[in-house]
Amino acid sequence: MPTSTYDPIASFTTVALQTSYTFSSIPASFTDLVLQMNIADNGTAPDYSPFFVTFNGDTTSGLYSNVRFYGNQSTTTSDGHVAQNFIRAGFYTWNTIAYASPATLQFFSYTNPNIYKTMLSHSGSGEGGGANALSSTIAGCWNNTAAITSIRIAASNNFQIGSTFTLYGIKAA
Amino acid sequence: MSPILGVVASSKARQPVFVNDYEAIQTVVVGSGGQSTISFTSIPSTYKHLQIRGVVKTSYTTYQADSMRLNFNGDTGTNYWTHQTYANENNARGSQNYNSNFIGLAYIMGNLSSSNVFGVTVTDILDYASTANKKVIRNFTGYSNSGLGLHTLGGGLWNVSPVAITRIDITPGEGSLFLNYTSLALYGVK
Repeated sequence: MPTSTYDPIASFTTVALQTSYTFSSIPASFTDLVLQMNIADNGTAPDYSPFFVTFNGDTTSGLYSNVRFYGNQSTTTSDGHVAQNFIRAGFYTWNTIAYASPATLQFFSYTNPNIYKTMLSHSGSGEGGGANALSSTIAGCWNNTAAITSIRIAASNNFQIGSTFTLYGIKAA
Repeated sequence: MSPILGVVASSKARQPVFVNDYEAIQTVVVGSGGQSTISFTSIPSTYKHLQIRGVVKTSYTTYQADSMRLNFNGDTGTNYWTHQTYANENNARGSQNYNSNFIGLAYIMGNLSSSNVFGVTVTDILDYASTANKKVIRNFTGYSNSGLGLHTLGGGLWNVSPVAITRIDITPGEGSLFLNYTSLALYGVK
């Protein structure tokens, strides 16, 4: 019998500038995780900033990689990174929270002990007067078979007040 | 790719956002012997949209990447079109394939290296039960293998007179088998 899923696990809205946010004690009862964010940075030019993802407190192993495709109003770029201490997981605007950028990150089979943890990301920065607002799609991997129990999202500078982070769990039949 | 549903967080932790609106229908997990086809059968017509999510690895060893082939209702005629943009660590391309025997879903991992690296996919089929619309899918699929990877935004058309989708068959593009721990799950969205 079909089972209802797509459950909110936790949600957070920044009330002060902060350099990162961590979802911790993620339950192991789901199959996939979906992270929805609407975020802005307090930095200055350029008009976009990257944000970064790490798992389980691992910020030094060099086990992260990513492949990115992103573009602005005139140029597209593809690149890849290997042996990193984080995944370059997307781009967001540097302007006020009024121009917050949406990002969706998907984490698949996050508790499976037989596979490395792979994510897909889709983000966009649509800052109103910006000449370099970006949209991106990214595949990233943490070369670790451990279950994901925490996810840390780090800003380029600080997440603006009013940035939102919501984590959902999806359980397969 | 964003899920079809709006994503308003509930104030009640661990309660479904929309009770009975996003449901897990079927899941196929490939065992140690591998599997040549993953099928979702007897799909009920009671939802508005379908979503397939999962982790995939095939037995293909010629190149690092492989793809998947999607067929509806047992139709293996030349009734499918695929359009996609894909990117690796160096460049991006577009491609199309029309009057084909399947919709192509690219790219997932073959078995050339890195036994623990799998490709991942989110594939949406909107209005799958409509008898007015031809069926079009969209997918976001990819992998990253130590900085070498591919990911794709794709669309596909089943170019037959509109019928409800009741069966979905998925096979490897080049490899003969899906490998152990490959898992695809079907969800219904109301």
